[in-house]
Amino acid sequence: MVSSSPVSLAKNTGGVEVLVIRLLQGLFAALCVFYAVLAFDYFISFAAGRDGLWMRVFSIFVSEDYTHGPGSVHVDQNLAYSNGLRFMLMHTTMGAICMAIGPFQFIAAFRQRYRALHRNMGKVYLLAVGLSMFAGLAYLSITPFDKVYSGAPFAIGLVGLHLLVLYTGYKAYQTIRQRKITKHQQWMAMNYGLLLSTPVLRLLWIAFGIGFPHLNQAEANLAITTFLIPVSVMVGIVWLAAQRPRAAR
Amino acid sequence: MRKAPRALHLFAAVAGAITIYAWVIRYLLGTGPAPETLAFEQSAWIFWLYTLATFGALLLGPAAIIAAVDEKRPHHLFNLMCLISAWFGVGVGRAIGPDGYGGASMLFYWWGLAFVWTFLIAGSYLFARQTRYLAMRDWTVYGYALSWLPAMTIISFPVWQAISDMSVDEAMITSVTMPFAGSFVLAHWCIIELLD
Repeated sequence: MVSSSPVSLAKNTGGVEVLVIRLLQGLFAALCVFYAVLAFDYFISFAAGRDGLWMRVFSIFVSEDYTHGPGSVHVDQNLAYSNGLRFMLMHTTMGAICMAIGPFQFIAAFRQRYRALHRNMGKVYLLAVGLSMFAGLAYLSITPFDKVYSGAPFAIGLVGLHLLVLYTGYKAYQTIRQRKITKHQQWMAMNYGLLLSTPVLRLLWIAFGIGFPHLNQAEANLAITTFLIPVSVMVGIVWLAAQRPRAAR
Repeated sequence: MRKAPRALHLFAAVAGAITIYAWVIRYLLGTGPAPETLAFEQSAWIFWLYTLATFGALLLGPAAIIAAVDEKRPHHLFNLMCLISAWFGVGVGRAIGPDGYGGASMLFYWWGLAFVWTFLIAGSYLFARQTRYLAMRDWTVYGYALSWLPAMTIISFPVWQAISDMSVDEAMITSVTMPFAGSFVLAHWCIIELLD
């Protein structure tokens, strides 16, 4: 197994590097938990007919016109979301659980210190990811692709993303059942990297709203779709690279 | 030093030939009034450099992976081909402009691809420097996977048009989005299941 304990990290890397890695891990975990809260709240607020936390955050960074105007998710997807609300509620609440659990599962010290908790959280994660993806696919199955936000290219991308998340989640489960720890970590990194496409998409919505104001949100969404998944997966593979041991000099 | 499997070179040659065929026949000699035709005529050298560099990356990819595994070093020529392909791809996107297939979104694809590819190559050098040879090998594999994108796009573009009622622009966006994401996951699968 590839060693990634703090002790081996300290041996392999300098003290400053360990500190920076820990700080980045903490920041990353905090951001993921923050996003999980936004995701959990989104459709609960939508069902209650009010703007959720995400809409407020989005409006602060960009503008009310952009987030609530023509081409925005808020306007474009109102009917489709209302029709598939039960699936979207399941999709986002379960996804939020995964998003909140994920970062802690990747911290080596946490895994080693609380092994039983790591296992139980992993079970919850895999169950939640399965339910979230099936709910997402169910929503896509009842919504014509041209009615999905930004149309068929985004819808097909979403179907592909859901299937890849399910596949990588299955492989992660299969490999841990076989006690292949390293492979399990590698599949989980890809799985979580794919899931990160959701918060990364929101971050890019904000960035595009500020940087490319001539594009409305639907156009920005389509532009982001072309490179979203690889950029998100990069987070997973950067984490994996950090786990790879150094060769003896 | 090991030799790369012949099948990979054969696939690379076929993919490269398809890419060149597509540029030359479809856009240079094609009769359709595609905006790309005009863009090609005006900026042919950018298209050619992009195509040849991608072809070079396809052919050198297996050797680059072997160099990463056996000799624990990055393959400079392969990485150069990848960089040329990545940034001349941006040139292709700018030459075609927002009126080409896929519309304005395509320029963001080219920029996204260039940044991801450059990041991967820079990472492979960084990991070589840090003696993290497995990470360097992995990132070389991810980089190689991206060199298949043009061929996969050209093949999947007519397929998406044939099997769905998408517009030409939507088919183009789908045919770049899916291989871009899929190539990463496929490379990841190869690393885990074949190389590790």
